[in-house]
Amino acid sequence: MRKYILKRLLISAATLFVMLVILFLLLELMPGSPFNDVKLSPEQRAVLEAKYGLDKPVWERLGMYIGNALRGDFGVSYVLAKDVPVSSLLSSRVGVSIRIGLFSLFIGTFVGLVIGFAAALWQGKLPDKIGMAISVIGLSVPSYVFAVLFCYFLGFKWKWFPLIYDLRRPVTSAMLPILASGVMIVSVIARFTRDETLRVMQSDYVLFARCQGISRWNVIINYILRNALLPIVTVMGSLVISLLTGTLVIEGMFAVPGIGSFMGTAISGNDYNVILALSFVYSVIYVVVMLGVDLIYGILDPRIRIAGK
Amino acid sequence: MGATESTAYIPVEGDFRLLSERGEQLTDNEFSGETSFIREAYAKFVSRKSNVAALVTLLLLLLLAIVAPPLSGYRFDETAYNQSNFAPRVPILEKIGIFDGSQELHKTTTTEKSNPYLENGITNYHLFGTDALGRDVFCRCFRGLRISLFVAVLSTLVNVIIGVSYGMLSGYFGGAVDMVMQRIIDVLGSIPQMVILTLLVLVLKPGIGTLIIAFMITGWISMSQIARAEVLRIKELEYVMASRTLGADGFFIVFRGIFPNILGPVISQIMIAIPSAIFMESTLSLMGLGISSGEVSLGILIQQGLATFFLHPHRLVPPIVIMVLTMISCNRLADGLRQALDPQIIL
Repeated sequence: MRKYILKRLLISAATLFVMLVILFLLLELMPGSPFNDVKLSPEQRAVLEAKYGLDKPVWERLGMYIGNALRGDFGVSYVLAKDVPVSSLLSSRVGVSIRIGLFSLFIGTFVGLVIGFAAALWQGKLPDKIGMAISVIGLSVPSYVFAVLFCYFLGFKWKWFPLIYDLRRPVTSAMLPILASGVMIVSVIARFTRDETLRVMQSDYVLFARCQGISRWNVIINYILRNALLPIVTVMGSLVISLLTGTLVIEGMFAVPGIGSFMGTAISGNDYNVILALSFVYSVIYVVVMLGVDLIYGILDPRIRIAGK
Repeated sequence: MGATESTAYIPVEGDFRLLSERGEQLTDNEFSGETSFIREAYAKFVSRKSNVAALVTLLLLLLLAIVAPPLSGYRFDETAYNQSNFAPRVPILEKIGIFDGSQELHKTTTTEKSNPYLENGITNYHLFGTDALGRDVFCRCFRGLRISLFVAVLSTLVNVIIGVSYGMLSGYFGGAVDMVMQRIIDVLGSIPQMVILTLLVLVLKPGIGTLIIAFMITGWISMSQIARAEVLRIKELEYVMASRTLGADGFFIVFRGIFPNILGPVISQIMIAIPSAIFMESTLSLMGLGISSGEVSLGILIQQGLATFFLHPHRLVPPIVIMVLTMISCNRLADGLRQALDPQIIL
């Protein structure tokens, strides 16, 4: 188990290192220097570059960049908010995005589990057909399409929820983004739960349990549910990545003050420091989630837990 | 009829001869083992109506992407300032009062109904209406589908070549080679695809070529994982051992012996990768990183449609419907092909 954890930690660290190197190389490749002012003489520019360490060799600058990034220092914003440190621009937005993301993850997972189990228990019947129709649509239709639909019907026509994110009403105004990104989660979880439950239901130990005379619902709850629930942890990683991709557009549509909409703003404003910092934040979120998923699964699943010993 | 049937059957001479003497086929095709893999896969594929429906939809969309832009009578970038923001007008359907070009404009106090075609004396038909510059949305939609499909298909094919080679070599040679190659995959696969796409497009300047390159760099990882898993399963089979005993070298076994047998999973992965590339393209467009050189794609159309959605929904609905249809039928086809090409699933 310790070897397994160590390996996962090393991979995560290597990923973040590669990501930082990529970001640094991009910075190097970007045209222009921070001191583009024509009024500067070459001497003044040299003094400025020496002050910020830009005259040092590439390796030293890379080390400096990584050191700063790990301390959360991504420089200052050049365009969106002049000279404001990027970290302070991001800190308030990360919370909003994570809160909305977690809500849609929990609600979506719960609804998806219910639909998936219902579909598996009544395989081939009406619940199965409805559930799988929902999951096919949810998997094939991009989440921003749902955002448009919910925006039009729930927000514009029926006026149930505010169309634009309102800081004074964080709960109701978060509903539309949560719903829009939740559909995808519901369908992934429902599909996976159904397949997994069916697989467990056809296994020998479930048949044996039934043969022993254990009642149907007892078998379902104590035998099938427990074993079907476990692998669902593994889809969480890919779900989070889809969720992150979805929020890039959805947050912009509802003007949620999160990192997704900020990415769009930074791209249209060409604010490189902000874009690079956001890219790093996205990678960190993904790497942490993947690490968490693998470790939790390793602890929960005896096959990995014992094999790794 | 009843009278003739009730009369007793009188045997003729031929009834007492063997079938082979009468020149009739004796083998039973059902069980003779003569059904080829392709025929069996075909039978499995058509046994589900949704597979056929998905295939027909996809072919229809493909056909429209090829023939619709030239046949529409417009060019995708042809502007007509006297025809901006027209609602759809379809021949025949306009007779029964729908899609006759009339539209409702919601103003702050009132709702105005008007028909700009009649008011301006325009006899053209715009099947999906026009956009703000008077460009025909029908022509633009299928032109956009063509570009989106082009980007998705081309980058997916390159991904297949890179990913499958990588995965097969990693899986076949195993040991230290596999170890190193898999750790590289572990690290690269842990970086969100969207982040890499965003950064690449940002550096390389938005355009069709950039998009294809960006998808090529990021898309092959899942392809290689599937190829590797299949190779690990197949390389222990007897026929591979036989091939090795006969003196075949590693590359021959991998590409001639194993490759044809992993085609099934690879083809269904292709059908998953294409809609996902179309989706990524549209997401990039919505973030302002689409192809910006005056060309259209589904993503660009959706981005433009979103801007005026409440005022002119007719501009957003067609590209979204086309994209959703493409994605649903591709996903359905991937599922159907996976089952049809899997020899272990029996009809």
